[in-house]
Amino acid sequence: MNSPDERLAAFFATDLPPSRDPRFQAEVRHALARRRFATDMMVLSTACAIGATAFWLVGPLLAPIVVDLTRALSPGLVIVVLGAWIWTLNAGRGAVFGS
Amino acid sequence: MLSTATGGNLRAAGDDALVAAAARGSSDAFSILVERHQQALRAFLRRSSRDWHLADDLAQEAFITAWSRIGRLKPGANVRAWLCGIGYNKFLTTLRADRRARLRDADYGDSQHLTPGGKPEDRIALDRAMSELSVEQRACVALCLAADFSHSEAAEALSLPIGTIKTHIARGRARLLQVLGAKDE
Repeated sequence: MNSPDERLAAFFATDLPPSRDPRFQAEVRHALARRRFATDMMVLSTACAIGATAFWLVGPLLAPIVVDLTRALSPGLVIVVLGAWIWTLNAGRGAVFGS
Repeated sequence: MLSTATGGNLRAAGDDALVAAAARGSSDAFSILVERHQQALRAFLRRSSRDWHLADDLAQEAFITAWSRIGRLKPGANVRAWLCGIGYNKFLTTLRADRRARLRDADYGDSQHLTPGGKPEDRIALDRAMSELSVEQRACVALCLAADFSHSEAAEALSLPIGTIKTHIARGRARLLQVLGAKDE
């Protein structure tokens, strides 16, 4: 411990953090999660704002088309939904009774 | 259970595989990179900034920046040097910003060294000598003398020519040895 290089090494060793530091790693993980959440929120807010503006602008133009489409498609949609419901019921019964 | 198994496989993976996985969005892979390189990055920043708390904050910020830029890292790149480069840039930004005063006023030996190492008189003298080195000299000493970075790794991390790195190390080492009452060979 008398050579200058050894004394220098001992001095530098005092600054060395542990090779594994769960607390620091957890802090980084939490900071990253916060950053990702903030980014996601920003993206979603922007997308919502753009979507709402687009609907507000295009809504009056689309309204008559949507009404006509709804009238035309309603009977067909009712049949499809009922068919899907019956099929699901049968499939569930088959799974329970093994048929 | 699945994430544990994945974590176990990743733990044995090299830096390149971890970087690729992290670039695809794997936070498990990035966590292992953090675990693997936190010691080198924090030690470098502690020795460069002379402030342990600031160093740990900077290291955390460096990892967050690294996460957002990891897709730009080329295969085969030196992750440790890359992280130290990000940390060093953050440190320089901090120096230029408002925290400059805090750093200037901070006493290197003031409650920072919680672990005693070597003789107290050596520590005090070396603390003072380190604080008298320029920022670049201190960074070079922190990477190449205190840690096991090669000159080219340090050049990559600090964005300095290798010649400059060698000069800074030689001058820094001479100054530190002079403090210890020894001559540089």
